[in-house]
Amino acid sequence: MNPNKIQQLQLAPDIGRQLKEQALQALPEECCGILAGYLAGGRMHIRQLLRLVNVAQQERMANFAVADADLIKAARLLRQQGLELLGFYHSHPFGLPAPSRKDVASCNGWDGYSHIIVATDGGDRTQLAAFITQRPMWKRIQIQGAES
Amino acid sequence: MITIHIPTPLRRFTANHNQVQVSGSTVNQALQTLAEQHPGLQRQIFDENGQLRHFINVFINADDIRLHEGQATAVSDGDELELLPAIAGGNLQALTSAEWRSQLEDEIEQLRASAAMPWLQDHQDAQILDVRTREEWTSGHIPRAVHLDKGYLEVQIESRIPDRNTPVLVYCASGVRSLFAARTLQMLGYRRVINLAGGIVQWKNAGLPIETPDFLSSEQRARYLRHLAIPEVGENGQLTLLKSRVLLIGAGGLGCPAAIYLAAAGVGTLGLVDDDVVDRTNLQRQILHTEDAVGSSKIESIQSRVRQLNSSVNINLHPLRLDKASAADLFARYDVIVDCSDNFDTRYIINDEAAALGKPVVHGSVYRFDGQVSVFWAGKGPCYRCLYPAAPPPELAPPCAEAGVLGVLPGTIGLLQATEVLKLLLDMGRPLIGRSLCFDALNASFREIRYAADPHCACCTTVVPGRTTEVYDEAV
Repeated sequence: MNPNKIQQLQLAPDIGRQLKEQALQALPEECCGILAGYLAGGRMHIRQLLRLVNVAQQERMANFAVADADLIKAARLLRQQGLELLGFYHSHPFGLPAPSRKDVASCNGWDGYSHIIVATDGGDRTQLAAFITQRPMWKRIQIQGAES
Repeated sequence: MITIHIPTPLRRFTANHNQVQVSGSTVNQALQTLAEQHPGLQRQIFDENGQLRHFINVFINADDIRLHEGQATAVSDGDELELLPAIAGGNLQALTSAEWRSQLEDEIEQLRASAAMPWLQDHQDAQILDVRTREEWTSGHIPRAVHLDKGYLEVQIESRIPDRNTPVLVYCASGVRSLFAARTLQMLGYRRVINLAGGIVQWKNAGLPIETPDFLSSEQRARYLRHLAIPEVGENGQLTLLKSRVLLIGAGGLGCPAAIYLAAAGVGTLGLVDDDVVDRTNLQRQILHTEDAVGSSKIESIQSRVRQLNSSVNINLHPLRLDKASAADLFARYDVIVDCSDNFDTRYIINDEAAALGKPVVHGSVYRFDGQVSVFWAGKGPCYRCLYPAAPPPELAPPCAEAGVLGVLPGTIGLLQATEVLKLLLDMGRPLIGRSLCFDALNASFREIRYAADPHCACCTTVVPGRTTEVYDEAV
């Protein structure tokens, strides 16, 4: 998979709704988790979310961290299900649907992981944006199926 | 065999295989083998120093290897290894130090020690910058490097490396501080900034050369602080002065002020040539000799005054009247010769022997209200004989004793000589080579006489065919 060639993130039905719901439920803290699915035709197809516990030590309203033990469990589970670990999501309570300096600095992994950021506005409005990591930046990509 | 599960983004390096079988008895061996089999993975898994990249967590079966023995954890047939990225982030704009560092590691070009050496050979114009503390610097640094403590980086870098197109290889002890320094340089507009990964520690481990600098003691720093403040002198310049050897011929009106100021400036070794004793008529201008010294050796008199001022200066006493043989012997042991003599015989001996050895001579002379200073340096410019091929008849140039001299005048000229000496030692400014600076005390004016090397000069070897001697005055 060449990260340059991934242009789109295709969400399976209900994935968009789940993302928004998790972001609102977690308020005032950030939620986080894994995007799982498969690659086909230059797209990442997201079939499933695996919600993970935000284990950030402080200020979980503006910070998230994933426990390494949760990550390996999730990775093994996905392998059993025949799904790929394609990326991650997290929310920005009262924030923007754009990577923060912190995201870009510490949430990269290898080039080619996708990220969805769910921004909430304090009410029940949310905005989604998708990115693909290409050090040293995150490249914004299209997101399809978020509203269905 | 060990099975390594390949994360989705890395499968482009494994021909799309989602797992790879390797052999090896430890986690590290297994990962090394993986990177050998699929070379594209090398940079994805290991950093410039061959260490596992900082964001990678390795799991053996379902356990983090840190729960076992890290990369030394034993692996055996049937074990599964998995690489996963550490994931954290959030809306907070502020970064932790570790986060900022890991971001810089991605963004700033890095070279490990073994790659830095050939890079430096290909980039002769590059500047190596050491941003460690002074204490660290003095314990050894990379040859050719300049030192600028990270604490002073922002305020001093522009004077140390004025051209922002100069490629800069920056380093510290381990490569972390220099990473932040590299970012500062980028923000200041330096176009090519490279961090030495692993710092000087890895440089040393790679067996690359280290230079241990001389450095000033705190006492010396305090004494020469006003020199250290001048960029053209600085610590290196002061160290140069301390290692310099200057020979003064004549311990009289010119020799006294020159000697005492050169000693004050920290010239390490002063040689004094004179066989005369202090006479009461000397006291009007030969400023280091005192009433008590009348009748005793002039060079010993200077020695005792210099010791009072700067006891660290080495003084070599040469109680002799200079002749050809002693000049040849002495000059070879000094960097600069200062002609403070008062007669033409000595001047020609000084000139001829210094020219033969290629040593610079700072010449000074006084007559009533007039004085002149020049630098004769055969090979780089004219010598004394180019200007004055032979001594003038005695009636045109009477000795000081007959002609007389204004008492303060040798002070002025002797200090101009001392100034030229420092310029020569520190290779700064424009020395009076091919120029003679003439001071007219009555008129309070300086003028400059320029002259060229004489192609027919009997003494010096600076023969330039077709060049004619040209003497003209220029008011300054």
